[in-house]
Amino acid sequence: MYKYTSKNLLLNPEKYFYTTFEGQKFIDSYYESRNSFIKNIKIENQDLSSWIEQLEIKNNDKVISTGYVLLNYLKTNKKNDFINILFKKFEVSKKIHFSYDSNSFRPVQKKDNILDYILFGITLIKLYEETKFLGYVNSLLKICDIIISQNPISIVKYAPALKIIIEKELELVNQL
Amino acid sequence: MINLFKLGIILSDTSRSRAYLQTLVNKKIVPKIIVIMVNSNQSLIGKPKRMIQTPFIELKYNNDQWSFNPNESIETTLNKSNLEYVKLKVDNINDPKVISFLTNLEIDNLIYSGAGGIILKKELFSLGINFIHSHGGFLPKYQGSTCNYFSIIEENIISASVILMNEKIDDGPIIHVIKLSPNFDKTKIDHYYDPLIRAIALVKAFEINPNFNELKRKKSYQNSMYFVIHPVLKHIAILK
Repeated sequence: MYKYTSKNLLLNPEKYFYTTFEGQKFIDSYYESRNSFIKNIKIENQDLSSWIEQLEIKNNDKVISTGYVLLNYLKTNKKNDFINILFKKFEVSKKIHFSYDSNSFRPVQKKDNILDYILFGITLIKLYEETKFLGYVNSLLKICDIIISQNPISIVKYAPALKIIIEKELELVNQL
Repeated sequence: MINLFKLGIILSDTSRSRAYLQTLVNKKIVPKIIVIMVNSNQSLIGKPKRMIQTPFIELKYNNDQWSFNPNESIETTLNKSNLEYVKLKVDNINDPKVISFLTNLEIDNLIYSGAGGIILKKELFSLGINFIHSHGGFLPKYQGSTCNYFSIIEENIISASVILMNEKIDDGPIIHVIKLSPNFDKTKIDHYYDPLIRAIALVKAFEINPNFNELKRKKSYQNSMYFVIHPVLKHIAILK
C-alpha cells in the first residue's frame, strides 16, 4: 500500500528523510493509488487553461498573496521571483502559506488553502516543462501527496484541476 | 601543500565519519587535531543504529579498491591507530564551546563531518579556518540534499565533491570532484556507498590537489538546488 497519503499531510507534514526501499511493489502501489484517485473523480473532462482562466484571486498590495502570484504566472506567463523563493520554502517546510511578507518573505497568514497547493502544483508542471529541472517533479510528487491526503469533500470543487495534475504527474514520472 | 600538522577533523559518530576516518587513516592522512562531538549523555551524536547487516563495504574507483567497515565506531578506529582525540560535549558544531575550542587551535583546515542538515554559523567562518566538506553530489550541478539519486536518474552517475564551505549551501570553492557509475547495490547508497564515495573524494583531494586550489567551474546552472528526494524518485533511481 502507498503510505504517503494515508494521513492528512497538512496536519502531519511528511519530511521524506531516509525513506526505505521497498522494491518494485512500492512503485506499483504508487501508480495504483494515483489511478484510484483519478478514477474516483467524477467529472466531465475540462481543459486546464479554461479552468485557470475562470479563476479570480484578489491581490493584497501589503503582502505577497500566494494564490494571486501563482495564478498571475499561470495566466500571463510572467514569473514573479517569489515563485523561486516559494519553491525553496515549500521544500523546507512542506507548507504553502496564504500570504508572505514582501520584505522578509516570512509567512503572514499561515492558513492552509488547498487551492494554493493546487496552483503551485500546476506551476511546478509548467516550470518543469520549461526547464526540465528534476527538482520540480520532486516537489510535484510531494504536492500531489498533500492534495490526495485531504478529505475528498474539501477538494471536490477543484476536481477538473486535480484530475489533470495527477495525470500529468503520472506522465512525467513515467518518462523518467 | 596542506600541512597535516595544521589539519583537524571534527566528527559525530555517523557512518559518514566512520568512512572518512578509516579511509584517511588507511591512506596515512592523519589530522593533527581530532575532535569528537558527544551530547550531554556522553553518547555519540548521530550514532548509526542499523549497521549490523552490512559488515563491510567495498568499491573500486580508478583501479583502486576502497573499503570501510560501517560497524567500526570512530573511537575503535582511533584507538586501534593510537590516535589522540578530544571529546566535546555539544549538540552540534554551532555550539559556543566548539567555537571557543577552535579559536585556541593552530589549525588552517578542518574537515567537517557533523550530523547532516546543519548550516554553520557565521562566527565559525571568522576563525580563519577552512572548513572542508565532502558533498554527496556532482558540483556545481547538483547542490543540496540526496543529489546522487537525482544524478543517477538523469545521468547514471554518482559523485562526491570536496569544497571549502561558505555560508551558503554547497556553494564554496570546489577543490576536487569524483564521479563513477553506480555499479553496486544501490539500496545501500544512503549509509554505505555515499559515505565511502565522499571519503574517496576527500583522499583524492589531498592527493591530486594538495594546495586546495579552487577548480574552475565549467558551467553555471540556473537550477541546481535539490531537496530531499521523494520516495517514488528514489525507487526509480535504485531500480534503474
